[in-house]
Amino acid sequence: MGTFSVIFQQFINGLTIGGVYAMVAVGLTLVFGILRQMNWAHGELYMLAGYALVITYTMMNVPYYVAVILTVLMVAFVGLLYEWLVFRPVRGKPFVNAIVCSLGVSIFVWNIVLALFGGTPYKLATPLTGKIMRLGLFSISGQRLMTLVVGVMIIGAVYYWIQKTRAGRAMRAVEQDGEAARLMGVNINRIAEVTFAIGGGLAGLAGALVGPIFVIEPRVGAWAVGKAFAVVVMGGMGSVMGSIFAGFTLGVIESLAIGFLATQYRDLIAYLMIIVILWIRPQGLFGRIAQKGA
Amino acid sequence: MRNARVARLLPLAMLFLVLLALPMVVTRSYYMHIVLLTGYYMLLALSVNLVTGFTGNLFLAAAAFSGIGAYASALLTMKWGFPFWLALPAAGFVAAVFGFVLGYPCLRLIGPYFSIATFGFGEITRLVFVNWYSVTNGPLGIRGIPGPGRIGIGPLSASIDSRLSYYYLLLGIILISTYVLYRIINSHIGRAFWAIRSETFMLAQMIGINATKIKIYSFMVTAFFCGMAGSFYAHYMRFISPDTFVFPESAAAVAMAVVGGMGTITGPIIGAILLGVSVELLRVVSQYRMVVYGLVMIVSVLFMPEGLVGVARRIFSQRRRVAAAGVPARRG
Repeated sequence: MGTFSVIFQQFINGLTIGGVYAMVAVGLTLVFGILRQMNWAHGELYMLAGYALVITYTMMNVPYYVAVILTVLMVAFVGLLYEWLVFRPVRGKPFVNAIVCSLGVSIFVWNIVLALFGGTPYKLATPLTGKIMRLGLFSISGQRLMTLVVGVMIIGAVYYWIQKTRAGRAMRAVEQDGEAARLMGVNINRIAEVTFAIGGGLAGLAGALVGPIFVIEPRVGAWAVGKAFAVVVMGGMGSVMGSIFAGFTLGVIESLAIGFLATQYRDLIAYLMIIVILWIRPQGLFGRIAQKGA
Repeated sequence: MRNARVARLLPLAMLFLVLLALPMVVTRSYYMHIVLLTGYYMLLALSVNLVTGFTGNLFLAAAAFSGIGAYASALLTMKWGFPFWLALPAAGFVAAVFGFVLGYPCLRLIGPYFSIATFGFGEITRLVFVNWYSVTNGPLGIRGIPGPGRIGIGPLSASIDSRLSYYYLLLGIILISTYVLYRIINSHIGRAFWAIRSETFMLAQMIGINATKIKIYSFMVTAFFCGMAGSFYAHYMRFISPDTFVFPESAAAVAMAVVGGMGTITGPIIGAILLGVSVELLRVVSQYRMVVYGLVMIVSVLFMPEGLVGVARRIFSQRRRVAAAGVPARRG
C-alpha cells in the first residue's frame, strides 16, 4: 500500500468518526444555541446509548436494528428527563448554575452506571461486525460504512427539519431572540423539550452505531463530551452547520494524525484546538460574537 | 463598621479554633488521613472560589494546577535537592506561571467559553502527565517523594513525620492562604473581581477597570494556591500519578465551593468539610461515593443556589429583621 492509499484509508476512517462527533455535537450546540445552556451531561447520553444497546441487544436478544431504534428512543427520553428535572428549573438563572447542575448530572449518571454495570468494558458484535467492504484501493468495515451513511442521512434530515418545518422555524426564532419568540406565542418549554429530545436522539444514535466499533464503558461520556466541545467551539456555538462541518474536520484531522504521528497525540489535538480557536477566533468558524454573555 | 467586620469574621475564627482542637477528638490515624485530604480539597475549593465565586467564571482546572504544583514540587525536591520549604512556594509560582499561560488565551472569554477552555487545559495537562515519560514517569507516577523534614530553628523546631504534624502544617497553610485570600477579596482588586463578572464584564471595562489585568491576576492567584495544595499533597502522600489530577477532582472542588456558598470565604471551607468528610466516610460503599457527589451538586444548585452560607445568612438576617420590626424605631 502506498502513502496515498494510507491517507485515503485514514480519510475514510476520519469521516466515520467525524460523523459521530457531528451527531453528538449537534445536540450540544442546539441546546446551547436555543436555550443558552451548556449541557455538560451530554456525553452521558452517548454513554447511556451504549448501555441501552447492551441491555436490549445483548441481554434481551432484540435484533440489532430494532435495538438501535429502541436505543434512540430511550436516550431521547433521557434527554427529555434532563430538560424536565434539571434544565427547566435553572432556566434564566446565572450561567454557573446550569453548568454546575449539569456537571452534577454527569457525575451522578456515570457513577450510577459504574455501580450497576461495573467498569469492565463491553464489546459488542453486530451483524455487520467483521464484514469488510473492499472498494478499489481502500476497505471499510460494514459497521463503519453504516455509521457513515446513516449518520450523514440523519444529520441531513435534522438540518432540513430545522430549516424547513414550522417547529424548526420556532426553534430558530428562540435562538435569535428568546424573549421576542415567547411574545410571539412560541412555547419555550415545548421548544426546549423538542431540542433535548433531538439532541438525545442524535447522541443515542451515535452511541448505538459506533459503540460496537469501540468499547462501551462508563467513562466514555467524558470522551464524547470532550470531543463535542472541541467540535462546537470550532464550528461556533449554536451553529448546526458549523458543528457538522467541524465534526467531520476534527474526525479527519485526528485520523490522519494517527496515521502519521503517535496515537497518544490524537486526543491532544481536540483539546489544543479548543484553546487555540477560543484564543484566535472565539466565535468559531461559523459563529457570531463570543462575548454575548449567555 | 469595625463591629460588622468582627461579626463577619467571628464564625471563621470559631471554625479555626475548632480545627485547632480537632486532633484531640480525631485520634485514629485513618480518620486523620481523611481530615488531611479534606484540608487539601479545602485549599482547592478556596482557590476555585476566587475565580468562580468572585469573578463568576466557572473554573474547571483546579486539579490540573494542583497537578502542576505536585509534579513541580516532586521534581524540585528530588532532582534539584530543593528543601520542602522552598519547593512549596516554588510549586505555587510554577503553577501561577501556567495560570498566566492559560489565562492569556482566556482573557476575552466569559461564560461557557471560559469553562470549556479551562476544561480543555485540564485535559491537556493530564495527557502531558500521562505521556511525558522522561519527566513524569507516565501513568506509573512518581514514587518516594521526600517528606517536609524539620521545620523551625533550634528548640522551636518540629519534625514533620506524623499525621498530627502534617495536620498542623496543613492548618497553617490553610490559615495563611485564607488570610491572604481574605485580604485580596477585601482590597481594591477584590472589588474589581466582582466588577468583571460575566454579566458586567463590558461595563467594568467601560468604567476604566483593566479587566484583562484583573482576570489574569485572579487566574494566577488561583493557580498559585492550587499549586501549593498540590505540593502539600505530593509531600504528604509521597506518591503522585496522573490519576489524581483528573477532571472529576476539579469538579469536586467546584462542588465544595457551590455547596458551601460561592463568593464567600467561609462557604468553600464548610463545603469542603461537609463533602470531603461525608464522601470519604462513604468509601465503605465506594461505588456510590461519586453518585452522592453528583446528587449533592444537583440538589444544592436547585434548592439552595447560594449554598449553605447563603441559607444561614437568610435565616439570621430574617431573625434580625423580625427583631427589628418588633422594636420601635429609635430614630425618625
